[in-house]
This record gives sequence, structure tokens and C-alpha cells, in this order.
Amino acid sequence: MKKIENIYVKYTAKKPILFFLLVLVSVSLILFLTVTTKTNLFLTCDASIERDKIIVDGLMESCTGQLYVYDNREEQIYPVEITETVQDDGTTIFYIADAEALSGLPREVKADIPADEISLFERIFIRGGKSNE
Amino acid sequence: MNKKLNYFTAIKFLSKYIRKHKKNFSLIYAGWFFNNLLRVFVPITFSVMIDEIVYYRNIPVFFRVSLVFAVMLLFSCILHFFTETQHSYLSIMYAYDIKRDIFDHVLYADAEYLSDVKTGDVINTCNSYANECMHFVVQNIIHMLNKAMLLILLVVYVFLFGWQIGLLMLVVVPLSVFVSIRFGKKNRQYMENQRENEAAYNGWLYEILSGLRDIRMMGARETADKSFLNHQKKMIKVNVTAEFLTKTANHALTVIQLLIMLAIYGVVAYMAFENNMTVGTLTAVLAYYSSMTFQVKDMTGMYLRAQNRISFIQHIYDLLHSPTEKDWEGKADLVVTEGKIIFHDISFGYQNRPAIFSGLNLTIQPEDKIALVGKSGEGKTTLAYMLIGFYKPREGYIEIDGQRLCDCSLKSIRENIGIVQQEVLLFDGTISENLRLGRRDATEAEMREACQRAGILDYIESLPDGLDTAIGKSGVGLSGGQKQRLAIARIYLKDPKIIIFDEATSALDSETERDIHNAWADALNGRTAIVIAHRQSSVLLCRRAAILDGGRIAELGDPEDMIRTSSAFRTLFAVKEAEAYD
Amino acid sequence: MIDKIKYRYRFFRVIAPYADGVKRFFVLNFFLSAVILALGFLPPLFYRIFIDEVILQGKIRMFVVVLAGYLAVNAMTILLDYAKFFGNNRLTNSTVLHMRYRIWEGLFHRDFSSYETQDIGDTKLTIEDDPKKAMDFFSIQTIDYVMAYLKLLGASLFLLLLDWRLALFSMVVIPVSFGLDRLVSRRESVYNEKMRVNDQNMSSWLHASIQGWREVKALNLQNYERLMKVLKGTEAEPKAGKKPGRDYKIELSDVSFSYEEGDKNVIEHFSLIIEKGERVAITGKSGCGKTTLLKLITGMVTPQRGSVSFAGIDLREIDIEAMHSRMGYVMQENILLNLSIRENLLYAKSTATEEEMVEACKKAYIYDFIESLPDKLDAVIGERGIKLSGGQRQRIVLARLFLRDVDVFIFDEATSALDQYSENVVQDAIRNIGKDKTIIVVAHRESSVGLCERRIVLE
Repeated sequence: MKKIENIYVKYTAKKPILFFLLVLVSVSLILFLTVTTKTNLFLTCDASIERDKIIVDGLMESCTGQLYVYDNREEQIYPVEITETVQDDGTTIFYIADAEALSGLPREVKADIPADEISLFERIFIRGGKSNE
Repeated sequence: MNKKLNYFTAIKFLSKYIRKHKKNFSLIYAGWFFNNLLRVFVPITFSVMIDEIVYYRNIPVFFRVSLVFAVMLLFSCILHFFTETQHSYLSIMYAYDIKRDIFDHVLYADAEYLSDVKTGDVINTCNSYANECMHFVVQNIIHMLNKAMLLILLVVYVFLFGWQIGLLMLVVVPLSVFVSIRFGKKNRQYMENQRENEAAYNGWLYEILSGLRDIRMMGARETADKSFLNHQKKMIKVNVTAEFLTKTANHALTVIQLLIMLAIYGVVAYMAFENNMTVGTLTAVLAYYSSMTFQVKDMTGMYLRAQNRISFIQHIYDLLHSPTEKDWEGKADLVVTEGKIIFHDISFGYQNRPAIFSGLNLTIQPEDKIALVGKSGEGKTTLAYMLIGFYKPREGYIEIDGQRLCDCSLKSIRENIGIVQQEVLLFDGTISENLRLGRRDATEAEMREACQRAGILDYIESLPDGLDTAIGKSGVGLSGGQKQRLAIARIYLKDPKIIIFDEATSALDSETERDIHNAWADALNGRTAIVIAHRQSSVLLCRRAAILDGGRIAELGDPEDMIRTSSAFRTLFAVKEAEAYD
Repeated sequence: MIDKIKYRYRFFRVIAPYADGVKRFFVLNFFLSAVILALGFLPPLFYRIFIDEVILQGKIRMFVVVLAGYLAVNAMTILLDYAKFFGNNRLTNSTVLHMRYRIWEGLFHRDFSSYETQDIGDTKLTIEDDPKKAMDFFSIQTIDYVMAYLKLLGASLFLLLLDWRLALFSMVVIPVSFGLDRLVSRRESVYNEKMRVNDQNMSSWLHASIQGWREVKALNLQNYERLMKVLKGTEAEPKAGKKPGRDYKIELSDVSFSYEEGDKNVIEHFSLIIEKGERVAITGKSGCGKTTLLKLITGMVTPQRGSVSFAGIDLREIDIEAMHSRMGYVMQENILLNLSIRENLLYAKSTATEEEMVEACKKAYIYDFIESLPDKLDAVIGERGIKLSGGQRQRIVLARLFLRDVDVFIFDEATSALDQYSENVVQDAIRNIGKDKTIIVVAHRESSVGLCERRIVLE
């Protein structure tokens, strides 16, 4: 038993090699993982729904993928597929795939539009976890 | 007077010991540094996890983030192993260094200091105070630094969450600190009381335990009982009050922190209403809040304890700076060939006390046997012990064979002068081990011869284990006379040119005394002897007697003459005309 | 698991008697802890209301409920905590005090021989630390222990109610941590005991080294290191002894004694009768048993064969305290306490008046010296009376003796440590002792022998 204890103390307290290894491995792993993971940065805008269109004020970049629409974000968020983006007279119109899903919502809603892609690293360490613009 | 330490000078003082373990301290700092970093980022990672799954149902991202979270947690756990072990390891090594220094210092301490010091005090200092030093360094230095960094990071990130929350959090800090410090100051007073009481109690307890037998035999049990109960009750009272204060302070803090937390709840609710706050961020906010309040509490606690710890460190500092014999400047080797001693114009008094000697002169010829006599307290012992450097004369000097004592090293002085004392120091061990205290490399034959001359060999040989018999606490008990003989045997082993006999034979009966006196005649052949005598019979052994009175040698002469001619001598020994003596 | 409970129960039984009169606080404590525990379950509920209803559903009015809830719980907890504090203090302090007192008492019932071998460091730890730790163990182990289980139970229940799947998943952790804990704590206790022993040894050894500094220095012993062994004294049950009558005759009857089993007898087949009022001098070579004889007479050691009796009662049956109250024993190394002279005297007789103390000091010829001190009777004497000379110490011890008004005076080579001046003075004092008192002097001065009518020579 004594031998094990001695070895344990030797490598945790006396010799720093294991400690350095631990720090090196952990930090590199964390950095690697966070830098290579991408998450979305969203822009929250006021929007209005018209059947299969979501109309947003201002000019947005064209984007594909998902758009998130909601009245009360805490209650329920509705993800929808974007089929087409059209810019028209100071507004941007997103055409969505499944118009039925939004039937429960009022006309005036909020939409979270994916604006940018950032690394997890940036999200955690620089933005403090926030995903809104 | 030693200087008073404050936070910074205490650190400076301790840094000497820290430097020795630089590597380990850096490691422990690094460990805690990463730990704190993780404490900041783990909650954020967790909040991202929550947000991704709760709002956007983004499973792939969720898994990646969870992985990061897991790695961070694992890292934190394993880190703990390292930091905790390092901490324990350091505690002991570091505290050991300090204890070692303290003990060494005490051993080399000035004789004056030692006659004054309280044993209980030194033991306390050595044991518990040294541990406090370690706590001080770890907590008040390392942790403080780390926590300060943590707090700054926390505040920065909280502002990222929302400036209103940031402000609220910032309010909590000064409020908590204020409350803690106010209560802390009051508490410190009680802790002082507590400590004084404890020290008094400990000292008293040591006394009583040492004198239990006497107390029983005196029938003083009741008195001791009462004292015991009084002490206990006093300590209880002080402890309870101190605890009450601490408790109230803690509760006050909790209330303040609760109020602020509820305010933050309010702000969060408002922000959520405005869609500015996610659940994930909410959890991060609350985690940070609790972390922050905890750090603040911790830091103020540390700050307060620091004050206490500094007083412990002060104790150690004082101890380590008390006068030692290392201040003795003499370095030359004393060489004694004849054994001529000159006390020239000696003046001396204990610290802060009136002089015992002033202008004392005495010359002792080689191989002279001189008795120092005088009433109790006149300084016979002090004078003799000056010869081995226990005390330094304020004025005048001592010369042995033409060499000034102050020029010679203490070691060489003590190698050349032997002492036989009234209270013999015996360690637990065998007789031969105790004998070897006289000379490390004594052979068995030499030990036997020494014992023979001291008149104790017969007794030793009557014991079943002979020289290997265990004596001391767990072994055979020696009578007073036997102990004396052992001490004398030690001296024979040491074989010094000059001997000081301090009431040496007063514990022996008349028959044995005669034997010892005969052994002396042999042993003293060719040596100079100073006898601190109270027995008239011891005085008569010597060729000369010096009467100490009023700080000087009042009379000097052949004792046999002095019985007739000196009235002072007669008074001292109360020679009554009609009584017959040995 | 059952073992642990049995162990705790046994421990509880041992401590319980010391908690007489405060047991009700234990019950109160229990009850209060339970209530506080229950209160502790409420904040999470309010938090849930906060999240669900205020944040997620936007019901602002519920926020007031949340506020009120948190504040109320907090206030109640604080009040109850104070109540618990007071109760707990009464309980702990009273019990610990009783335990300490019992240990303290035990010290006074020990065999006299154990005093020579006692380890002060250990005794101190036993009086100070052990009861406190035991009490902590007790309060932590019982109330807190039960509370911890209750908390676990309550929390599990709530978890299950909230979501049984999550609950089950999180509960997997529990047996694992239990197992780990068992592994660790067993090893830990071994190390804890090692540490305690080390601390003890260190204390005692330090104590001795510091006290013996003179010789350590003179012999250049700075590098000599030894640890002292720890010996535990035995605690004898106090037996109710017979009280001695007025006729204090001392009798030894065919006594044989040796210190160690199998050692040569120090005293063999020894018989002696000392009548009341006799003055006896005991002489003999050093080491032939004079001190041993005194130890037998005063009951500090018991003979292997034969019997010692005082006032006709065998020492094995006598009330030792009563006997000691009649005896005054001046040894070579009496201990004076590190207190004032007055306090030292008061230990001999707690009801002594100023006049009595002065009288005793005068009889011991130490009064003039005391008067010459700036603090007089209130002067504190240094550690172990070191600052007094040997002679002065003895005279104070003698004064204590006079204060007590004993019937038997025993002087063990007492005057040997005095300067001749003091010795003669002591001898004068002895002459002043009443003719009806017994005096036993272990002497090796012819002058001391001269004071006595009878002389016993040991060989």
C-alpha cells in the first residue's frame, strides 16, 4: 500500500510532469472542440406572416436553412424551412415551405434569422453565450 | 523590540520559506488558476447547451457543446486531485521548515530568554502557529489573487449578459464587504479574548497536570476543581458569544444577498418579457451570482482571518528574532592547558533587573578547588554559569588561560568545562545511551570505568540488563543519588579540565557523599573545580572559599580558617558552638 | 451499514449519561432541524414558479408570490436557526463539560505511581480535544446524519414527482458515492490516528527538551533527538475507603517490595511501627530504599507482600484522601505552581486567612523574604519556581505544610537541597512542631538525625 501512496504523491505533488500533461491535453482539447464547432448567430426582427411568406423590415442577406418564428419565445418557437429569399422595396420576403405549421400564430410575430456563423469558441468566450446580434 | 508585522511585511517574512518551495507553490497557483477559469466558463457552456436544445432544438450542436462541457468538468475534477495533494504536501513540508527553524532557534536561544519563556507558549508556537503560516500563504496570498481575478472575470461577463444585472451584482459586493468587515472587527475582539482565555487555561492546565501528585497530597483537590470549572465556564461563555456574532453576521449577509438576488430576478423577468433573456443565460446569471456572493464572502473572511493569522505569525517572528547564542561572536577554539580562570571587574544583571554583580574580581589558579558560597540569590550559580557562556557580563571580562571567553566559540568552551547539576537530565533510553550524552563515541570499557569512578558500576551490574537497562519514564527509576552518579560518570567520560559542581552532592547521604568525595579527589586531580556549595562539608573539601555578598567577593580564604575568623562565614553555615558535624 | 448504526448507538449510550438535564435540547434540536430541512425544500418550488409562470408564461402577478415566498422562508429559517443555536449550545457545552469533568476527576483517582510516568501532552489532549471531538462526532453523526438521510429521501421524492426518468437517472449516482466513501474513510481513520500520535509525541518531547535546556546546552546536545514514549496511566475506580481514626499509628508488617516484577526486592521482610508523636530519623546509603519506604508509608506504591497500615487500617482499604489530609510530605522536588505565592498557599488551605498565611510563612522563615518582594504575597513565582533558589522554594513548601496543620510530617531528604542557612532554619522550624505530631525524617545529615529520638538505619 505504501508504495502506491508514494507513487501517487510523487506524481501529483513532487513531479509536475503529469500536471503539465493534464493541462496541455485538456486545454488543447477544449480549444479544438470549440473552434471547430459552428453555431448560428441570430438576428431578431419583427416580422409579419402572410400565408407562405414571412415579411421582415430591412434588407437581409439571402439565406437558406431554418428560420425561427414565435410570438413568445419562452413558450414556443416554430422552426420553418426557407425556400426562397426575395428582396422587395425595403423589405425582405422569405418564402417558407410549410405554411400550415404557423397557423396558430398571430400576424405580427418575431423572427430569429440566422445572420452569421461563429465558432463555439467565440460564442462562449467572447460573447458570454449569447446567440443574438 | 521586534517590529510589528502587517499584511505586507508578514508576506515578506514568510517569503523566505516560500522561496524554498517555489516550484510547488507555482504549481498550486496554476492549478487554482485553471480551476477558476473553469468556474467562469463552465456555466456559460452549460447555458449554451440549454439554449441550443430548449429553443432551437439543434441536436448536433447540442452534442458538440455537451462534449466540451464534459471535458471541462473532467478537467476540473482531475485538477482537484492535483491541487489538493499539492496543498497537503506543501502544508506539511512548509510548516515543517518553520517548526524546524523555531525549534533550532529555541535550542540556541539565550539562556536568559529560556529561563523566562513559558514552555506551553513555545509548544503552541511550534505546533499550531506554524500551521497558521501555511494557511496564511495559501489562503491569503494564493487564493486572494485567484479570487480577485475570478471576480473581475465574473463582473465582465455579467455585463455581457445585461448591464442592469451587472450593476446589481456590483452593488452586492461593497454591501457584503461592508457588513463583513464591521462584524469582523467586533468578532476579532472576541477572538482575542478567546485566545487569551485559552492560553491562560492551557498554561494553568500544564501546571496542574505537572503537580497533580502534590495537589492530591495537599488535599487541594477542591481548589483545583473550582479553578477548572471556572476556566471552562469562562471559555464557554466567550466561545458562545463569538459564535453568536459570527452567526448574526452570516445571517445579515444572507439577507442582503437574498434581497439583491430577488432584485435580479425582477430584472431578469423584465428582460425576458422584452425577449432579451434566454433561459440559458438566466441559469448562467444565477450561477454567477451565487459564485460571486460566495467569492465575496470568502474573500472578506480571508481578509479577517488574515488579521488573526498575522498575530500568530508575529509570535513566530518574535520567537525567531529573540536573542540567541548565535549572536555570540567568539569563534576561536578555546584551548585549556592549565585551567586558570580570571573574572575581571564583572558586572551583570538579568534583563531589566538591578545588577547582581558589580565590579566583581576573582582569580582561580590552575587546579584550584574553590567553593562559591553566599546566601540564596546572591548569584553563585549565575557567576559559575557565566563561565560557560550562559550569560554575558555587562562589563568586565572572563579569561581562561589567557584567552578571553568572548573571543572563543561556545562549543569549544563547553567542551572544555564540565558541569554536574542538581537536576540531572535523563532521556528515555538505556543507561549507556544516557552516558553517551557525555561523549558520543565512548566505548563500553570507557563507560564502565567512568561508572566505577562515579560509584555506580556495582548497581548497574546488579541489574539484569546492565548498561542496556532502560531508564527514564518507561524504565527503572533511579534514586537521586544514583542519578547524580550517572551525571558524574558522564563528566568522567567528557574529561574536562575545568569542572563546575552545582550543589552536586547535596542529594546524597553522608556515606555516599564520602565515597563521591573520594572519587572527586581522583577525578579532580589535575583539574580546576568550582563548587557552588551549600553544605559546609562541601566547602571544607575545597582549598579556598569565596563568599559572595552585595555583588562582590566579600571574603576569600581557606575555609578552615574562615570558620574561626569570619563571622559572615559562620552565619552562612550557622555554625553553632555546641554542635558537632561530620 | 447495520454495523455503523450499532456503533453509533453504542457511542450514544456512552455519552448519554453526561447529557443529563439537557437531553430535551437534543429532542428540540432534532425537531428544529427537521423543520428547517422542510423549509429548505421550498425555495426550489418558488424558483419553479418563477421560471414557469413568471418567465415562461409572463404572469407578472406571480412574481409577488415568489418574492413573498423567498422572504418568508428566509425569515423563518433564521429564527429557527437561532433557536437551534441556543439549544445546541446548551446541549453541547453541558455534555462536554460533564465529560471533561469526569476525565478530570479520574485524574485524581489514579494510582499514585502513574504520576511518575504520565504524559502531560496526552492527558491534555484527552481532557481538551477528545470530549469536544466526541461531541462533534455525536452531533454530526446523529442529528446531521439523520437529517442527511431525510434530505436525501425528500429530495428523491420531489425529483420523482417532477420527472421520474430524470429522477432515476440522477439517483444512480448515490450508491456509487456511498461505496467510494466507505473505501476512503476506512483508510483515512488509520492516518488520522497516526497524525494524532505524532502530534502528541511532538508536544511531549518539546516539553521535555525545553525544560531541560540547561543540560542540553552544557552537553552540546543540540543535535540529539529522541521521541518520548507515550504511556497511558491506568484509571483506578475510586473505592470508598475506611476513614482513619485519631490514633495515627503507622505500621509496616513483613513488607516486601520491588518496582518491577521479577526485579530484586528493594525492601524485604520489613517490619516497622511508628507510634503517634514519635520522631523518627531514617538513614542509610543512597539507593537502599529510604524513599521507597516513604512511598509505601504514604500509599504511593503498594507492597507485593505484607501490609502497610495507618491508624490500624490497611492502606489498601483506607480512604486515601482522608489519610493524605493528615500527612504533610516535603520531598526533594516539590512542585510549586506557576502562580502567585498566595495562590500556592491557598491550594494548601483554601480558607486560609491573611493572618494564617503570614503565620505559616513566619514559621517557615520565609516571611522576611516575601516582605522584601515588591508584590509580596502576590508575587508570581516563575515556571516551576525556577526563579526562586532551592532553599526559598523549600521554605514555601514548608509554609504550605504549616498552613495545613497536619498530624504526620514527612521530610524526604528535604533539607538536602537547602543551603546550610536555610537548613538550620528548617530544623528550628521542625523543633517548633508540636510534641504530639509524628515526624519522619529521611535524613543523611547528622544534624537532622539529632532532632529525632529514634533512628532507623536501612541497609
